[in-house]
Amino acid sequence: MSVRTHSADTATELTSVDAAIDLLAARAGAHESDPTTAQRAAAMVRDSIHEFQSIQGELTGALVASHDRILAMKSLAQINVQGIASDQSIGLLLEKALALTSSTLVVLFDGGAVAATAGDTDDLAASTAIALRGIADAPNDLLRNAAADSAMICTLDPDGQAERYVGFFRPGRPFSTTDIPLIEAVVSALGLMLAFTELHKRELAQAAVEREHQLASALAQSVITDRPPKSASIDIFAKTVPASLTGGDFYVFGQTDGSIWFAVGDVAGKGLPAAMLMTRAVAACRVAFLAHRDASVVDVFARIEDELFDHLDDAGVFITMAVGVVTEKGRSVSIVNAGHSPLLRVSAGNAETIGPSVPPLGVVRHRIPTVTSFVLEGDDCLVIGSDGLAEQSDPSGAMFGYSPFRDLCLTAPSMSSTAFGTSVFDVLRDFAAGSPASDDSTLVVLRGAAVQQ
Amino acid sequence: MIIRTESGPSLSIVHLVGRFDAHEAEGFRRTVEPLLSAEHNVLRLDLSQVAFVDSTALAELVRLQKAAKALSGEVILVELSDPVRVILEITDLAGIFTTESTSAESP
Repeated sequence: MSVRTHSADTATELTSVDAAIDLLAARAGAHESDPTTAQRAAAMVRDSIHEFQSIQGELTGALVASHDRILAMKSLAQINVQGIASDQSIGLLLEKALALTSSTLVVLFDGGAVAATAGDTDDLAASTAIALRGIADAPNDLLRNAAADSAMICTLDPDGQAERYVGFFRPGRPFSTTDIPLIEAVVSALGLMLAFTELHKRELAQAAVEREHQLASALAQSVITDRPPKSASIDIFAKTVPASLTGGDFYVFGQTDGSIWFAVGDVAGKGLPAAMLMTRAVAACRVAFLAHRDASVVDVFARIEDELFDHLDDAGVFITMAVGVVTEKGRSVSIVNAGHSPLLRVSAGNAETIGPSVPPLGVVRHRIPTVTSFVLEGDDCLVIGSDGLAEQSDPSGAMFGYSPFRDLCLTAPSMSSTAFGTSVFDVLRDFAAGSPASDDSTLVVLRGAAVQQ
Repeated sequence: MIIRTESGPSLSIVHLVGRFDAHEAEGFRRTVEPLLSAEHNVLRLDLSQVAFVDSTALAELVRLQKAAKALSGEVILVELSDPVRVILEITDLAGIFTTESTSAESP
């Protein structure tokens, strides 16, 4: 810096502060009796200026260091966003912590063991011993100093269940109270990011479980065939809608020589657990239908019960089920009801409930059901539903009801089984008005095929 | 559903109030199952204020009855509400329980 001074007729160029002080001291000395007084004053001014310059340099250095740390903290925070799913993210976090605190070693401890490190690991064993001793001495502290203040051991996620700590080691440069705010900030950021990483891992695991659940549900539901058997004389509708991905409702058919066996059932319970038993029930019915095609309905029911009872008893659940057979030639129906509803024989203007004669399968063994037999004459229909139909709720929580369902079935003889079945689900959908199904819904309708469509 | 239990030296009675469905089954089991023991093998369930029972809840009642029978005891259903009575009839499960009411008692 140069300064131009002005007097009455001259101008002197000054190239430094020292030159300016010298000029002032010389001019002041010319008017003093003791010239050394001006020189001592000049020396004092020079010393003060040098002190200010030194302080300014230190302040600038501190500001630069502070700015660097802010940038480092920013990059530390960005690791979470950019690399949370990466296996390297924890390593990056520790590297940043190492740089921020000017440590020679940073160690992440998980459950008393070294989980990750950054920096010089030559003295890792000794540093680990220092850290574990510090934790043992003060287990409830959040920050602990050790090794003559050359180590700081901090608790990560103090409210969490995981015992995680991070140790900062700086031999020869003890940590001081001025380091603590930075250490706390770094620990806080590390804890937060590790919590996010943990959460992310849990979400991935949960997503994997959900995918497996969806797959298992789809597989379970796939045991129910989409289409009922085709027959020249019997018009059949069958549909099941699980309340969630899968459920315990089912229907199963077995077409043998001139006869169609059928079963409609409902495993108590919901979702995949009920569906697992449902698949077993479907298999048991198919085997019974094919292996005992010439047996009576009671015998077939007994075979199904024999196959399922112990499993149901162990699981503490039961299956309501209607099992029957209809001959294609004579449309003669024989059916047994084990605690299932609704089950209706519908003719013009009349819907007769076929009540249960035995409790559901899995409750009491070896009860012999009563067989109900009749012929599907004219427009007569056999309607087998599940409780999810009659118990469908509307937005106010009111149930559709068994009696209205019976009234609804009075329309069955006037249309094909498919038209009637579709109309039932439409009516219930309108009744629900957006309310979710509380249970699986299943409907099977059998009637003579030669009807007005 | 509200579950209120009364346990005495020789008698346990459980009062249920509200809807008894799949959502309540686990809480019911957790609360009621511990009341059964070799010494307390008879349990009364007051169902007078149960508004709805679904098949999952029925399965819980059947499971409890089996557990009581295994201890040479039984579950007695007291004061059936209409919805409970209907569902027990249409599933043919009424016969596996003893039912009691203030006006009459049936085996």
